[in-house]
Amino acid sequence: MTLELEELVRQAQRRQAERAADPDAVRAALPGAAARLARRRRIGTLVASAATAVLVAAVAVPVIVVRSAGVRPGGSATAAPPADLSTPLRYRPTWLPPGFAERSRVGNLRYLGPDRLDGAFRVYSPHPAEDSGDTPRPSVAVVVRKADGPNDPAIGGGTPVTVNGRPGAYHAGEPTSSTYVEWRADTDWVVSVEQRGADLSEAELLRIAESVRPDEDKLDVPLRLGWLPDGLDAQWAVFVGTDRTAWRLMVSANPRWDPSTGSDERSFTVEWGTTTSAPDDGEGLPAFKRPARYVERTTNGGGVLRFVVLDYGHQGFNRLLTVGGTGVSRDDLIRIAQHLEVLGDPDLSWLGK
Amino acid sequence: VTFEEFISARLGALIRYATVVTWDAHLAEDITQDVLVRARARWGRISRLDAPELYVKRMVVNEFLSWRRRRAATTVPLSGEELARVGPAGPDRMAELDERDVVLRLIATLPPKQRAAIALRYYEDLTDEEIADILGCRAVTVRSHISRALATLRSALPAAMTVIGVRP
Repeated sequence: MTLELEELVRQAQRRQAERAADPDAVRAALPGAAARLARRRRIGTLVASAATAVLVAAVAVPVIVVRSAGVRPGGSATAAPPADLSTPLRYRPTWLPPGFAERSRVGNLRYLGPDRLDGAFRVYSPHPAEDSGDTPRPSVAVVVRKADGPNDPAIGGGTPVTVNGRPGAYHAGEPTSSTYVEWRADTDWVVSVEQRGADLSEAELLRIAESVRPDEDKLDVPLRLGWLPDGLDAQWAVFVGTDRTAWRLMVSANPRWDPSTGSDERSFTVEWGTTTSAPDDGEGLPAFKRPARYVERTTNGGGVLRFVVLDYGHQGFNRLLTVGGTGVSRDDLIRIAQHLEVLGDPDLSWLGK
Repeated sequence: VTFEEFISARLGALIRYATVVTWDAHLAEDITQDVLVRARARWGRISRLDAPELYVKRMVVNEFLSWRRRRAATTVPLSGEELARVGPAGPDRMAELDERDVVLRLIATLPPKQRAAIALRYYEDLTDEEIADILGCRAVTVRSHISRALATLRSALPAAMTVIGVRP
């Protein structure tokens, strides 16, 4: 059976190899790929973190303060004074195609090392965001990142353009990537306007770019992390929502960037909102003063997702607090939750506008 | 050998290799491009190695496993039962399915390190030690990956055959 099976595996692998892409096409796409890779690293890091945040969930605690509840934690939290996690967004478009509205905001909370996005982005789409489905929805993202030297952004494989008198480049999209305009908006920041599946012309994309103006609005994060496992930092804040009845604010923590150390697979995310990414079942956690449960799942990669979920719902008020993570122990997740403060709902006045 | 000479001679094989490791032609194309961009930037050093191609293949595997790690939290867990339910086919295609189709689908459900290990063993015909060098683990771990992968396939194959109607 083993020999037979091994031969079946070899046959399957040979057939799979026949599905490989055309080498000539791959080779033809190499010029200019360096610029795309650098950019994708920045954006990809953020998107991956955001995606992780959407899936991983978290716990709440007796320590949490919801809105005007005014409950302060007991004496167990160690904790340095909680830092304000709200993140400046810096720029916003003042013109978008009809129907597009702001649905999502993402900000990084600290320096993450070279090739990582150090800024924020906001996403506009004509339809409410949904959490499921593989089909990319039409969207326009305005991405702000820290400039990497005086010549950033490089023209790379793009077409030189000017945006409000400043040099930049228009990058036509490929079938699997986005189309974007990128330019140096000021001394410190590079801005790009990017579309995915929105079928906007170059002129429309440039019109959006020309409309971008400085903005003092922030990604509002009324969460305070009183305790984190050693070596982890809160690095991303992500808001995803449809309207006031369906939204989630997430803060994800990952290993502190250190080029001298090996990989660290730990991460956790705190979620506050109307839904949770945690599975439905689990064991009750009677130590909490409100309905709480612990649930875990094993991934097909062998990792374990752990979640603690606290239900703050009452009389039509629907709020869930979740702490979820990978590589973080059950006890540590609970401790994170016990030292968490929720100061209220985030500012939602911008959502859908 | 220059980078261009390497590309001219080995790009096709490299893409096929990446396609077997990742089990996803689109992802393989993406990863191969990224790896080549980075390899070109340090080709002066890579070309002086005894086996530049092996080094690039290691980059492909590392990029794949890194990609998988970044998405691990979004992966839907697959239980043994779910594994056995892979690929139920429509009635009109039932006759086209055979063992090879089922194996093709089952390999796609293996954990990434197991899938990479069997790609290196059965597609690349590498030894345990060579695979261990690429995966950055011990040879005994390689044997464990391959053994577990085969065990999974062996146990799931009959069930999957039954589910899709190939084997009563």
